[in-house]
Amino acid sequence: MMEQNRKVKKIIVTVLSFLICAIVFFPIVYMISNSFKVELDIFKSPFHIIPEKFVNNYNSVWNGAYDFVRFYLNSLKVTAISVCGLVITSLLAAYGFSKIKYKGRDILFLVYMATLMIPTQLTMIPRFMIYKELGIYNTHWALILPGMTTAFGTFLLRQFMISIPYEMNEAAKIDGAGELRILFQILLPLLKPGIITLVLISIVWSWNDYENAMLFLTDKNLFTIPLGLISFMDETGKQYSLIMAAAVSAALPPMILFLFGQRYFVEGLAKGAVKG
Amino acid sequence: MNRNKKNVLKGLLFIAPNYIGFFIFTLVPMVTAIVISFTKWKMGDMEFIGLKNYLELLSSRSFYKSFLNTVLFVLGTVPVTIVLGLGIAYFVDRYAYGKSLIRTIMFLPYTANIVAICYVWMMLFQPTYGPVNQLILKFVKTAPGWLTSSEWALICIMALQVWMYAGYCMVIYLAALKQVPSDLMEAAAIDGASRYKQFVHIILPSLSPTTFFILITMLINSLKIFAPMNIMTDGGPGDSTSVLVFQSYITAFRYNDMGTASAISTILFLIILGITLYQWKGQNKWVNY
Repeated sequence: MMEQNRKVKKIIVTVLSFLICAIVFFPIVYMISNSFKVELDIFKSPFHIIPEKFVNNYNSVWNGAYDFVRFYLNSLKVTAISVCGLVITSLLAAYGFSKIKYKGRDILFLVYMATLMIPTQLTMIPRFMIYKELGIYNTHWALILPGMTTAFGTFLLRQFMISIPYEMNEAAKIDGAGELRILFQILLPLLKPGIITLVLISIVWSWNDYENAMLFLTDKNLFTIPLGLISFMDETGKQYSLIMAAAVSAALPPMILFLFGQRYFVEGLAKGAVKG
Repeated sequence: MNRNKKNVLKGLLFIAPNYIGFFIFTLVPMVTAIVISFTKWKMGDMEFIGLKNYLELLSSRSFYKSFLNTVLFVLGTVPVTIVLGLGIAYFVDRYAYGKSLIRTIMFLPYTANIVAICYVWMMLFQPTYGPVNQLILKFVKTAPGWLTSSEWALICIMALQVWMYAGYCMVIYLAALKQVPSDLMEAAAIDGASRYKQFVHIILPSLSPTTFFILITMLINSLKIFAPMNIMTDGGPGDSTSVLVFQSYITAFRYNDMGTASAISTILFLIILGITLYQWKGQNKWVNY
């Protein structure tokens, strides 16, 4: 009786949960569905999830008539360079904050942590000036350089690094290994989960970064995906079918990454990550 | 060189590549923003005027409106997101089949591109032909104008925020629920504690560090909301979706008033700092590590 009761409960909860999932998933399905529709069918009443007439809007988006391909390549470039850079600077800094002992280290780290909570939106104006001063305004470096030096990366990798006992370092030192060698040959293999987590999360953030691109890029040839989508809206004359095909193309890479690396995402975000 | 000095040098060299970037792109801008907030500066000469920007803001109607909208936005999103996240996580963890599929679907919005999603939102909530209103009009005669209505626009953006982050909260709660000591739960069950009592007296307290983390993250996420306003509504209709970050942005880049814009940022900065400190102080009352 109890068993059966529990089973009924389970079925009810499962049905309700999938109902909520359906609601959550609906905007994404709607986006994909519209990307295969004829423009006229998009706002048709009643609307159909499965298009009445399939058209391949992706072909028009990708065939080179619009700048979408260039936006995509720009995003790939910016994301790839910033994430690679971030992993290297974060590895070094995390090591410097956890495996080398020196005076003042913890104060430096505290300053770091204190700013982790502060959203970048609050520093738009000074950064605008500084970037102009440095000559990186309206170049990809305005996204890459800040992207490869976030406090988040250091914080995350340090969390992984402090769980490795210091004895590893001592043993390696007795064998005559220098700090760099300890980091890259001995600790690196142990840090793999942490690095994968950092790579996945920062790819998603960098790929989706709208605000910085909007503030610091004005040259259309430099636009990354989020800005590209906006200018694509104008270029196509608000043709929603094409925009949805572009939107799906834009949204797909982070989603696929997530599907493959779910457990790393959860671990990294739960480790005290705050999106800056 | 003695060992100590050598270690300092080594340590600094290791942190330098990251720290220099952090210094230039985060720390200096933060301090500079505060300094600019005490000046009158419209991209020409800069003049120190003390607290005048702040005093002017206090009597400015548009600042009051943005402030109010920001508070409303926080109140309308943070509790809903957390309760939904926790509620769904609790029931799914306990009873549902297909847990990992549910988790995957719920988390997807977090990875979505904000511009793409804003366009989807504009279509979903399109007043005459959008699917949402098509559904509503089946049951009642009139439907809200959503993003085109000054009463509903902010609510529509709140829905977007909840959509993006409820799954994120749920996934983090799901991970935390695994850590709830099962012997405690069993003991309570044997003693005849009801499900509700178990939830309030065992599960909630063991989840408190997670709740603390999620609460701060969600508060900041909502306080800094900007992109949907800039993409979909331009703060409108009227000023119904103008929030603090958005107002700071247009004050700086549309009206070239850097001093006032920085004062708005600084106020928001102080609010976030206050919340964070208050939470840290208050957390030993309700957070059990």
